[in-house]
Amino acid sequence: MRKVWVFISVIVFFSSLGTVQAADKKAVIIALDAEFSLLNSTSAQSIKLGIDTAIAEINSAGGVLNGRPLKLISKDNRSMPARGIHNIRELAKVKDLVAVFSGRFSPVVLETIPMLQQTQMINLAPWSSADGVTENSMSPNYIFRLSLKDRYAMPAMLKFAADNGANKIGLLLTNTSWGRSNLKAAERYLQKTGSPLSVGTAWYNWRDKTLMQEYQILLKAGAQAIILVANDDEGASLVSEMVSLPKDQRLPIISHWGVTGGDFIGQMKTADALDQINFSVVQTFSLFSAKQDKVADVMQTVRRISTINNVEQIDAPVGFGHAYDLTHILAKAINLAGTTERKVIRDKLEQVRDYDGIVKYFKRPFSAQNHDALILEDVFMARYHADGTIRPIKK
Amino acid sequence: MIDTILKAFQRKTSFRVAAAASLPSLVFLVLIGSFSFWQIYESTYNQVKSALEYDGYVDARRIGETFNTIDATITTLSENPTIANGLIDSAGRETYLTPLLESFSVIQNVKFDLVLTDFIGNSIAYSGNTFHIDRFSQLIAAAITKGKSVFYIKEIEDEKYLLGINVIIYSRTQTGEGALVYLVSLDEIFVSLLEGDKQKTSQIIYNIKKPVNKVMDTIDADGITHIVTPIPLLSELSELGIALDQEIKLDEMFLPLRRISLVYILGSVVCFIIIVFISLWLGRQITRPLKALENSVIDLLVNADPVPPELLQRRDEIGSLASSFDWVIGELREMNHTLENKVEERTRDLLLARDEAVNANLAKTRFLSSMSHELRTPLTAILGFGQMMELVSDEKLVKEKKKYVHEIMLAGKQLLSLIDEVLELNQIEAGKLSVSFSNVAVDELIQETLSMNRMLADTHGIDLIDQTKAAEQRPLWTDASRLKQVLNNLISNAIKYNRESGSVTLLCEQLADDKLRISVQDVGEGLHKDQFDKLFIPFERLGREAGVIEGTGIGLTITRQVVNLLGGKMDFTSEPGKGSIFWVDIPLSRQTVQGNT
Repeated sequence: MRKVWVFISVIVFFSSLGTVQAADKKAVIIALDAEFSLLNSTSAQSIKLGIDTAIAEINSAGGVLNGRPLKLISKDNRSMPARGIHNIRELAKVKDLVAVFSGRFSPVVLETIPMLQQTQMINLAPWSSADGVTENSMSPNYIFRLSLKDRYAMPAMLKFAADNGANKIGLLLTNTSWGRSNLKAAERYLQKTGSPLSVGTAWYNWRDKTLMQEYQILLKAGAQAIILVANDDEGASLVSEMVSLPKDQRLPIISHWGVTGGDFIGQMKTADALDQINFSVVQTFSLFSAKQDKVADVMQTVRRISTINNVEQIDAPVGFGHAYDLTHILAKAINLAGTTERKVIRDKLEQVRDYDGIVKYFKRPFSAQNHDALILEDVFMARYHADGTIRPIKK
Repeated sequence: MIDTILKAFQRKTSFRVAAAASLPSLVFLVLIGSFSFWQIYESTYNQVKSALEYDGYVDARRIGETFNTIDATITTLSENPTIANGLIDSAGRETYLTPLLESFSVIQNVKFDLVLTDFIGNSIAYSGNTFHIDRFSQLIAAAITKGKSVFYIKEIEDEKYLLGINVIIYSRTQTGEGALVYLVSLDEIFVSLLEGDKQKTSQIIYNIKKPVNKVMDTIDADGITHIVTPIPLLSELSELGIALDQEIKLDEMFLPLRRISLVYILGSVVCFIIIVFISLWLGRQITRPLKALENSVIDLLVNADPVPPELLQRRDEIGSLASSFDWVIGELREMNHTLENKVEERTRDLLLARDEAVNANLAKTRFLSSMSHELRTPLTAILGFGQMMELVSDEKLVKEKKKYVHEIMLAGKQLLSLIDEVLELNQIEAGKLSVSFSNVAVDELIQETLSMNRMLADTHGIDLIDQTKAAEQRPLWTDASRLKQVLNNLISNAIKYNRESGSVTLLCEQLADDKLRISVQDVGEGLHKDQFDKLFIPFERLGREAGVIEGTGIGLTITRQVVNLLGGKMDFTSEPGKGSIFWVDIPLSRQTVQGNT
C-alpha cells in the first residue's frame, strides 16, 4: 500500500516537472529570410548553417529565457525585394518571433525598411553591405548588421589596388542600390585620397549576358585594375570572358564579396579560368585565420548538425561566421530583455557587451549610434585557392 | 370555276382587253419588277455581307497583328535587363524605368497602360494609369506563380480591354518574380480600324467574342446580325481564343431598300389594279356602244326607237358602225314593212284560198247533200212507181204500166247519168280521169257533136247553126271524146236554156296564143252578174231545180274541169234577156297543151 503511494507521488512529481518544463519550453522563434532558391547560391546556406550552429550551441546550453529553445524558421525571398517585404509582413504575425536574419542582397533589405519599421521587426544583417542598410531613417533603428559595409569595403579595395601598383582603376558596378552605395563609398574615398584615380564607372544590369562591353570601356579608358561590384554569376561571366582576351588585356580584378555568395568557380566557363586572372576579393572573416580553438569548437557542432566535416567545405564563410556571432548576440539580448517583445530586445541588442565571437571579440557590438558591429580594420583582401576556398592574402 | 372564267372571257370583250392590258403590267411591273427588286435586295444584301465578312477577316487579322506585335514587343521588353533590374532596384526604378515604360506604351498607334508589378501583383513602376491594373493583382500573382504569360479579355466600366500579363522569369531562380502587365483598350483599336469609314462606325459595332472555329454568321434575338471572325494570334496569345464580332443592324441598314421594294411592290400592285380598271373601262368603251346598238336593234324591233344619236355623232369606228346600223335598221324597217304587207297579202290570199277551200268544202258538202237529194229524187220515183206497179190492178197495169215504166226508165236514166257525172267529177278532182291526146280533126268532131244534139234541138225547137268553118281548122292536139263531151254539154245547155224558137250558134276562131276558141251562143234569158259566180258550183241550178229543164247541175262544173285537163280554158259572157256565149279555148298543139296542163 505504502509503496504504491510513493510510486504515485514520484510519478506525479516528475510529470509536474514535465509540465513545468513543457510550459517553459515554448520555443523562441528566429527567422531567416534569404535567397535560398537562387541558383548556385551559397550565401543563404552558409548563413543558415551559422544560425543553426549557434542555435544548437545555445539550446544545448539551456536555450534562452530560462530554458526556452531557439527555433529557426527559414523563408525564401529569392533575392526579390517584393518577396522580402511580403515575408517580413507574414513573419511579423508569428508569435514569439524575435528577429529576422536577412540574406545577401542589400536591395532586399533596403526595400524592407518601411515594413520593418511598421512591424517593429528586428533585422539582423549578416551579409548585406550597402551603407543604407544601417544608415537608414528608422528611429529607432531596427536593423543590426554584423558584416562588411561598403563604406569600408570600397576604401579597402581601392587601397589594395593602389598598394599593388594600380594607379588608375575602373569601377565596374551593378546597377542596383548596392552598386550605387559602392559608388558613393568609392567617390568619398577617392575624393579624400589622390590615389588611385578612377578612369570611369561602368554600369551593368544584372541580367546583362556579358560585362565585356563595360570592361572594354574601362580598359580602353586606361584602367590598370578593375574594382568589381558583382554577384557570383556576373563575376564568373566576366572572368570567363576575360580569359579569351590577350594576356595584356587581362586586368587585375579587385572584387566586392558578392561573388562569394554563390558558386563562383562552378559558373566559370573553364575550370582553370580563375587561374588566368589576378582576382582578389574583399572579406571580413576567414575560418582559416580565425581563432582555431574557437573554430574547432564550432566545427564540432557543425559536424553534429550537418554533413560538413571540415572547414574547407564551408562555402561563403563570411555568412557563416557573421550569422553565428549575430545569433549568439541575439540570444544574449533576449536574455537581457527577459521577454520576446521585439521592442525590448531591440533596445537590449544595443546593450550587449563582451561577446567573444568567432569573427572577433566584440566589446560592444552595437550601440544606439552604431548598428554596425564590424569596423574598417576588420576588412581584408582574399583570394580563391585551387581547392575552391577563399583564403586571406597574407601581407 | 375555270369554265366560268373561260366563258366570261369568251363573252366579254372588256375582260379580254383588261387581260391584254393587265397581263404585261402584271408580268413586268409586279412579277419581273418584284423579282428584280428581290434579286437586287438579295444580291446587295449578300454583297454587303460578303464585304463585311471580308472586312471582318481583314480587321480580325489587323487586330491579331496588333495584339501579336504588342505581345512580341512587351516580351522583348521584359527580357530587357533594365526591366528586370527594376524588380530589384527601387531607387533606380524611378529614374530609368518609368521613362522606359512610357516609351513603350504606344505600339502600332495604340496607347495602353504598362505596369511593372512584383510577384504579388502590386505595381512597382508604371506608365499611364495603374488604377485599372491594380484590380487584377490576383490574376497577375497567379500567372507569376505559374511562371507563364497569360492573356485575358476584361471588361471595365463597359469597355473591353486586353489584359496582358507578361511574366518576368528571374534568371537567378528561374521563377516568375514579376510581370509586365498591360491593358489595351479594344475600343481604341476598333476605332482606329473603323475610323477610315465614318459610315461604318455609325452602323457597325465591333466586339470581342469567345472562340469559334470558323467564321460564323448569326442573327440574335434583337435582329442584329453578328459576323464572327476568329482573330489569329500567335504563341501564348493564341490561348486567348477570341473572335471579332461585327454587330451590324443589317436589317436596319436594308430597311430603306426594303421600304423602297415594298413601296415599289405596293405601287406596282396598285398600278396593276388601276390598269385592270382602266382597261376594263376601255373595253366597256367598246362594248357599251355595241350593247347600245344591240339594244337599239332589239328596241327597234320592239319599240321602233332610233339608234342613239350620241353614237351616230361619234367619228370613230363605233360611229361608222352606228351609221351602218342605222342604215341597216332603216332597211330592216322597210323590209319589215314590205314583209308585213306581203304577209298581209299572203294572208289575204291564204284567207281567200282558205275561204275557197272552205267554200269548196262547203260546196262538197252541199254537193253531197244536193247529190243525195238528187239521187233520192229519181230513186224515190223509181221506188214509188215501182210500188205503184205493185199496187195497181192487173187491168189498169197495162195502160199505167207503160207510163210508169217510162217514168221509171226516165228516172233511172237520170240517176245513171247523175251517178256517171258524179263519178266523172270525182275522177276529175282526184286527177284520175283518163285523158288521151291525139291529133283530132276539129270539123269532124263538131259535126258529130252537132248531129248528136239535133234531136234535142228539134225537141226544143231550137236551131243549130254551125258557123265554125271547122274544115279550115288545123287538127287539135286533144282528147276527142272529151272534147266532144264538152261541146256536147255546152250545146245541150245552150239548147236547154234557150227561149222559144231560139238558136244556138257554134263559132270557131283561132287565137293568138295557139289556141282554138269554140264558142256556143244562145239567145236565152241570160244570167245576172250575181249569178255568174254560182254557175260552176255543182248542183247549183240557179233556180232551175224546180223547173222543167232536166239537168243535174254538175255539167258545167265537169266541163270546166275537163277543159282544164285538156289544157284549155272555159269562160262565158251573158246578158240578161239577150243570151249567153260560152266558149272554150283549146290548145292547138302539143306544146301549148303541155304549157297549160
